[in-house]
Amino acid sequence: MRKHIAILLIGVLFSVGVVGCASKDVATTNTNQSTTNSGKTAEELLVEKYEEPVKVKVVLGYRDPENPDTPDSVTPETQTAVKLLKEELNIELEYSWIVNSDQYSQKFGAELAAGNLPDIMMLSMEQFEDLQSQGGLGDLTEAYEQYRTDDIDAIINYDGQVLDTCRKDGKLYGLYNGTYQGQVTSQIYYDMNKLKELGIEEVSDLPTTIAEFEALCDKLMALDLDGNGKVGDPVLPAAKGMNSGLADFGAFFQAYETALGGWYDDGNGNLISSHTQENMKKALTKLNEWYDKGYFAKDFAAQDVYAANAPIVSDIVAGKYAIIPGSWWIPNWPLNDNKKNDPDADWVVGPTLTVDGAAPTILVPRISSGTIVAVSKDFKNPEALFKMMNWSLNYEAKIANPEYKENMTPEQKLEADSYVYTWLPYRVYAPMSLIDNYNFISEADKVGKTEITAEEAPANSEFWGAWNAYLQMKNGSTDPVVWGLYTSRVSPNGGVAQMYELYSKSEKWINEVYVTTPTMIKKQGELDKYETTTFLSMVMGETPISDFDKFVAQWEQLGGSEIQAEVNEWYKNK
Amino acid sequence: MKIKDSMSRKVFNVFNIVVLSLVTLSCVLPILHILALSLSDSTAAAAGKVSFYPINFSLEAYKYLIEKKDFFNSVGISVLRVVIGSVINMFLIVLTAYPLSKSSVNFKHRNKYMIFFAITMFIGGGLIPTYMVIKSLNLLNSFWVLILPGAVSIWNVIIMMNFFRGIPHAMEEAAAIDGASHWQILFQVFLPMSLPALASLLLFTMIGHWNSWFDGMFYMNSPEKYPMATFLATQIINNNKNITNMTPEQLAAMNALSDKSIRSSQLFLSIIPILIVYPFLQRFFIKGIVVGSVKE
Amino acid sequence: MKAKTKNDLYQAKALHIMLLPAVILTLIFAYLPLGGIVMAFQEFKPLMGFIDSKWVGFEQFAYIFSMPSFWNALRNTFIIAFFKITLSILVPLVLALLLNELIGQKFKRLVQTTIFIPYFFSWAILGGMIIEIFAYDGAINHFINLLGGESIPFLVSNDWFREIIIGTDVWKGMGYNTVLFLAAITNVDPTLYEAAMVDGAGRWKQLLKITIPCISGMVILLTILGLGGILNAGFEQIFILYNPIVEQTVDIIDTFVYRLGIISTQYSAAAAAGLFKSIVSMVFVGVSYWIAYKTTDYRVF
Repeated sequence: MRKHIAILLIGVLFSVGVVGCASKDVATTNTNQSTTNSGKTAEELLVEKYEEPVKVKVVLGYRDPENPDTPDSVTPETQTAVKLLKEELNIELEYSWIVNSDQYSQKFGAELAAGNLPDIMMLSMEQFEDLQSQGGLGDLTEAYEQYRTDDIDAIINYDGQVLDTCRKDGKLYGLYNGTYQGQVTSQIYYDMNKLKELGIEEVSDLPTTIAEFEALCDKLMALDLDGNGKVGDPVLPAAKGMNSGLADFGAFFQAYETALGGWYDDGNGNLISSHTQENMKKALTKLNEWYDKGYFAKDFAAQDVYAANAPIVSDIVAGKYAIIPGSWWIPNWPLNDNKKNDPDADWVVGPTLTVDGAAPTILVPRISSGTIVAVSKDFKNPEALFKMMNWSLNYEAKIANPEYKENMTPEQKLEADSYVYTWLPYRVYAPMSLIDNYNFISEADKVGKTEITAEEAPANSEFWGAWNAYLQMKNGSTDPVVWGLYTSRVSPNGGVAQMYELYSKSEKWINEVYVTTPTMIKKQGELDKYETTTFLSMVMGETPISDFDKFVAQWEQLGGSEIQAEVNEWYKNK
Repeated sequence: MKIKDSMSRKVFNVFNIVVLSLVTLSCVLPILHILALSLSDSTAAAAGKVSFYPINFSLEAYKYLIEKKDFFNSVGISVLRVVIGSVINMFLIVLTAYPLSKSSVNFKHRNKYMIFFAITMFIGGGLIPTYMVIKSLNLLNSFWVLILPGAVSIWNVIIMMNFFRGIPHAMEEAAAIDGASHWQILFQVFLPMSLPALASLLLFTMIGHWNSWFDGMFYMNSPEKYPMATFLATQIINNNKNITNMTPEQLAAMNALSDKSIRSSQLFLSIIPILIVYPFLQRFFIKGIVVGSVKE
Repeated sequence: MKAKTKNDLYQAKALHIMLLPAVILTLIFAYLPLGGIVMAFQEFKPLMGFIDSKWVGFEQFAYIFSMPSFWNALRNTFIIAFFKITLSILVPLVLALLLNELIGQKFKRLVQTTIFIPYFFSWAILGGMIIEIFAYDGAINHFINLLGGESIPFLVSNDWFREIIIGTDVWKGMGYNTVLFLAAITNVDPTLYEAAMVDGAGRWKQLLKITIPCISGMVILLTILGLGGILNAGFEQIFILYNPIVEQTVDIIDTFVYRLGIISTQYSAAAAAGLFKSIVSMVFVGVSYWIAYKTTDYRVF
């Protein structure tokens, strides 16, 4: 059980991902903000305590504390963060309802139908459009101008343009919290230990073209990796989510310069959709050949990597595969579990696959996916949102700092380790923290630094986990959990490093569309479903690839053309 | 049976007993399996070693439930719901079925009422409008939302009504001539004669309340107010779905936490009351079902 | 009797009073929400209210009819409900006939009592058990492995999941109808059997010529009434058990409406789909009751 908890905590630390200005004193942070009528700077305003209590009606979807030792008395309403918000800012959080995360959308939908919105809420892009068009959201323009600081901008406007997605007619209706664009890229992991048998010694021996990759797979087919006494078992894990980030087709689509969703400029100012182009047909043709050769399990389309106890994941953990396509994070799950079973496993990210040796153009979003924090139009104190965010930044950074942690009481420590402070109705996550931390640790590694003060450290609390993993690996740790963190975040052959490399060096097509058009709200779900089932069925050979044109026609007819017209209209008037 | 059984008859008898035993086992074994899982050490349970008897006997799961309190808290809500809900339901069933059991000659407006009630069996406003109504009544997040919306069960009223109709007219007339009011006839004549039907309806009503979970999930504002069945249902749903919304790391964490023994112990505890009540009432309700379902 | 007119009026008043609580509750919780049906003809925006939301006529219906997943759900509903209805009559019928042939009364009672137990379990409980038992590492796969077979991912398999939904539902409900049929069989006039035995008819002949014809009316009646519910394929069961992977085979109208209305907040489209279901259902129920009335003179009300 102990072990489990340790894994949990580290896992959660990195999924929660918080940012702050570490122990930097807020008041001394240099910003370029204007002062207000009252003559106070944004920093002063942000920490100013309200004279009269300000009640903030919020809602919450949450999970039980990850640390099972958390006392029952720690609830969303009694957690330290709520008490401190009251003490330090005189902000009183009132939870209208609190449910498990899984019941959140249901409760939100029902409450919205009854005309109820909380004062502060987290929304998807679709919800944002919908609520804004109904006039339900409050104007944040003024509050933002008064309360913006560099620390807050580093989150909600990290690239200087993302904030504009929430502007309507010049007014700001939400704060966008996105992710690093490079996270959409795909990678292929190879277990160098297993591949030795095939004469592959170095990363440079790994395939770089689809043809070489196929040759390697053919050789693997002739081996009995899982030791079940027969050859010809599947060599590539695959599942129904073609873009799910683990055991998916992303890396192959990437090689063929195509992707499942996205609208990019064809060079003449017209947006075209990526998955209806010829390249997708080529990619599917190849995948179908591979399916026929037996690279994928015959029933792969029934597999879901995210289902509890998914067999596909068990197979990966059991070491049945030497090649695993996926995203930057898979060393942290499930490759670390494989490493636990097989300490000799030596996973590295291989070269980006190409069709003909020329580096592929990748499709990346203009605005990465994320959530929007907004306030209700009835909320009288929109500035409270900025105060609370700023407060959280400081608080989360403070309690992640190892020095500060040492002085905590056991109860405080228990609560901090349970990550209950994420039970707040907004999120503060620095989109660039993965890259910042990687760059920082690589630099430190070059000069052989092993001591970091809180002042020097990148201003996000994710940093300490990555840093510790780095130090432990340096000291020869064999803990698979540490290995997972290190390989995904720090290793030069690992996830983040290779993602950063690919993203910054590649030619890009930009997926321009981040708006939700009326037809998308109604038909996108159906279209995606149709696309997924058709593509899966083409890979499995149930639908001939020659029907691709029919698919495109049908897709257009089901709403694709309407969407295309709408996004082009929007693009031209942007 | 005096007649000597033929050979084929004997074969059939054996076959019959085997088939019925298998069917019976299919109803018992899952319960045994759950019980065994709940009494096993959690690693043995997770490894799939447990069949119908505990492996590495352990009461850890039950200890956990007692310490964690939230499960027993939800059981408390369910008990209250069963008691209060069943009393109200039964009262309304009897009160509504009696006038409707009159013929339209004796109670002129009977058919209008019947249509009024029957319509609701066929068409409803749907979840969202119902939610709006409940919200505007301020019943959201209140215990009464588990009781009132379902307080009038038309099906049960109809079963009761049909049972009342089977009571000989002479009994009613005799009482009426003695000057008894409808209230007296209902409570002093009809009810004492309807014990089997009442018992079976009571059983179904109680179990209905014990088992209901959707309303709790939909109308309550926090898990602390969930009745037991909702508590269990949300646990299943949460383990089973929406997993796609989680980050991979959260998912790994959750899989590590899912504990078969604990889940099984909750399942087993929640069926105990049913297993206890059922044998006592079963004598009555078999009669009750037969009478209520099919009218001669 | 005629002398009691005054008393009659007084008495009728008592009847009205008795009905009052149920009438009030029904008005509030069943009739008031019916007003929400107007949503189906609007582009309902909750923050604007019913009054200010745009009226769109039958556009929402056209929209849901254009969705492939609506038709998928409708097809699944028919398939699942059809098998549930027919099997939950056939299986209990066979069980009742088998039970009737039993000689040992104790065993008979034991079987009767036991097979009724699952009927009383909530899907919240059974759902948990079923997932536990059919899981990839669950009891059934364990058994399959013992026999040398490969584990089957039942819960995420579009080849198996619908069968599991139907099978577990029939299993849960089999006790109820078995008791019903058994009671009907016991009610068959014993002199018929005596006469048959005198004529030298064996058990098999008695079964075919007496037992089955005597209860066939009831079987037909239950089937007809059951078919009225062809659009109710069991929301609670499927809602608890299904997952996105098996939506293709077990998504039904009710779960479709739930997702569309509450998760995707397309309230109007969901209301339209719900109304469509209600109307079609009403037709089915009406027809089935009418047939039941014509063939067996059965009346509910």
